[in-house]
Amino acid sequence: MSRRVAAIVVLSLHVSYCPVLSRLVMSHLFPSSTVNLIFNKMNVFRAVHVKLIARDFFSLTIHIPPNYAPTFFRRGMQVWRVETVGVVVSKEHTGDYLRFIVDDGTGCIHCILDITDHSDLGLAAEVETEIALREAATVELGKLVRVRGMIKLGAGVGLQLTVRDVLVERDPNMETLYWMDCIRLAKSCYDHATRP
Amino acid sequence: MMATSIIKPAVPVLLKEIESGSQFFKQGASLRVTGMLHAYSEDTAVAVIADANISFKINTVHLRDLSFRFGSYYQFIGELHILPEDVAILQARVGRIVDGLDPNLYNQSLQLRRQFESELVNS
Repeated sequence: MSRRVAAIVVLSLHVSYCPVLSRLVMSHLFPSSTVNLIFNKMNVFRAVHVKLIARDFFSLTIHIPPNYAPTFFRRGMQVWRVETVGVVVSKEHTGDYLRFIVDDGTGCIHCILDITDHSDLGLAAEVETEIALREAATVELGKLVRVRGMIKLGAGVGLQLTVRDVLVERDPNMETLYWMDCIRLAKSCYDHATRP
Repeated sequence: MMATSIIKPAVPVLLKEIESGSQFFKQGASLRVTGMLHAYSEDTAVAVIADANISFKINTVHLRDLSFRFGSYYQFIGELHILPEDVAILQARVGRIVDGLDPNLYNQSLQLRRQFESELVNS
């Protein structure tokens, strides 16, 4: 039993990188009830940027518990972070924030990048600010971007992303490949995430 | 500049799908079109792109910082403007060069994505 526990610990280190693969491996080692218990406890999708096309993103169910922040679910699976790929169709610099809209052809996702100068908080914060400023400088109208961020419920705009990082894609085929990723992951992973 | 009005998603379409009677052939429809640049007039700012022997006009008057090179692939996002006698032109608000795009992969993936979208709506 101790060897099994050790195996869980080792495998769990890889969960945030590849939850599906880890689940497949673990399902060969342990009864399915044990695997489900482990994965539910770990909230694997908390650390993962779930790939969703905008239509799927805007279909998320929103729960607003009293005195707590809203939570978001896709067919029963809780989602914290999302990745999207699309074309920047609008951009606005207001104060310490860059607000831009990414259109992937199925919806327009509002994104907010915090570029507040936190350099007075130490070296790590200074680097973080520098990265955010550099990323903000690359966001231009018509660019194909890959955005990862936390889901937020914005006043007036509904679901939006608080940007963790934004990357300009040079290869136009990356959008096509992203569509295929979204479809494959939805069918092979996300649709089954809450089933025993 | 952030638009104050709600921006509609531009549906990716093939040029052959923009014809009278098609579900995409609507006044003001937001579309995303892709094709090779065949002609461009600096006087009118109208570009002509082509894909699979179908050509289509784009009004690029609102675009900035986009150079036009014949033979390059372009993607435009904008609203469809239907003129008399069912002549259509896209009023582009965003444009970009997509040289290197695999058209076959793009077309096939577009069909798969539409199928997936309809599954999402119906599920």
